[in-house]
Amino acid sequence: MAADRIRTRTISAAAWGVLLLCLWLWSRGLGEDAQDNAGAQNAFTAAQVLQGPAPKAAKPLNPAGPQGVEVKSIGVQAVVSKRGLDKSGAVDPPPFGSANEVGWYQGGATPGAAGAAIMVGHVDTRSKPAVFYRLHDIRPGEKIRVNRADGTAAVFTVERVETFDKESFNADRVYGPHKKGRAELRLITCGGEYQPLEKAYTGNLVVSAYLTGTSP
Amino acid sequence: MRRAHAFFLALLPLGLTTACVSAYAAGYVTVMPYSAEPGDEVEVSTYACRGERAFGYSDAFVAPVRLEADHTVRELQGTARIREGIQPREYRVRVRCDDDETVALGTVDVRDPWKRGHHGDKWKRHGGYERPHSPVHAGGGGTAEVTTAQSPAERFKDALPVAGAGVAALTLAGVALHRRRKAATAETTAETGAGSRRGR
Repeated sequence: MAADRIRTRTISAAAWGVLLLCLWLWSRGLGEDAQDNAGAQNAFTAAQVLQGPAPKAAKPLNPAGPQGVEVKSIGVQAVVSKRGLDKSGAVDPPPFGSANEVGWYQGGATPGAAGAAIMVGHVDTRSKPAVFYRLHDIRPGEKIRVNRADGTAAVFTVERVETFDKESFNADRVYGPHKKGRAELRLITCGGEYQPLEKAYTGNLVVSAYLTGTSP
Repeated sequence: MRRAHAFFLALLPLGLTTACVSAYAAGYVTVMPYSAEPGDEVEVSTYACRGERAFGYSDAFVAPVRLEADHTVRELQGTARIREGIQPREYRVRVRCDDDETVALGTVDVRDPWKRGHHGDKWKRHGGYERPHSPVHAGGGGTAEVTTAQSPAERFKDALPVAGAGVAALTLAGVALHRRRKAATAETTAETGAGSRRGR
């Protein structure tokens, strides 16, 4: 009988232990979920900005059309093609059939000349990654190189990386220059979340950079 | 004759210098955006000045605009507001540097707000291109994760603690029931005189 008592007590103790452990794990799981959601929210609206002493802006170059763009830090190397606006007034990226190309808005500044040069590329096609698939990995301080038609290369330093919700899109901030007189560059792709019903992403990922160097 | 030639030749560099200097002094003023409506704000900037300060004047502006140095590049800039109710046309913008001598020139095009969407000849001069104003459509969704649904593995992981708690609770209930039965049996046994000790 004593053995039986000991056995029951052991089982009891073990069961209590398991119960408490499981309750604790469950509550931790709830906590993590809450944090994940908060993180996603913050990532959607927060901007990453260049900290510390910024590289000096280089004097703008003469206008020349872009032919290629390279971002070594995220493995992007692409041909640049000239694009216009679509009927909604947004810069039109290259068609999905040329999803490895980057489009440059030919109605704006040329990269390297004063003003904001705009480049747009797909993040993915309907089935696979595209030229700007890894653009969200870029960080302030990294370099973007644009090879120009006159044989020179313009080197830009990334200043801001931010996501804009399409509902509250600030066209001046995205397409307009941030500081007068500088040569600036924007790399834009889709960001936020993909909504299958609308067949569209909820926002734009915008990388802002300014000219800090040139190569002959 | 030769002396005349020499004289003119000597004048040439002087002429070139004067031309260059006046070109520099005439400078160029950038107004951004180039085309604006009454009430809009525009940025006025110039490289033409050597000093730290300048003033910009235009019939299109509400008031003279003060230009100051931006320390990133050697340039002066300021913000002006377009006056309400003025006639839509191009207006001259004059910037006077604080040395009181250098004057730089630019223009601002004031649009008729009632004719939005019809830019007219002014835009043709700039190649007919307007400023983009909408978010881009640059993704087909082929690599997007559907964020609302959980993968089976994730669901299992979340369910484990709950299942474990359930099993533990059942175990405890089972133990309690077992004890009850034992106690009941012990009582019965005690009553029938079997001699087993009742207790916990």
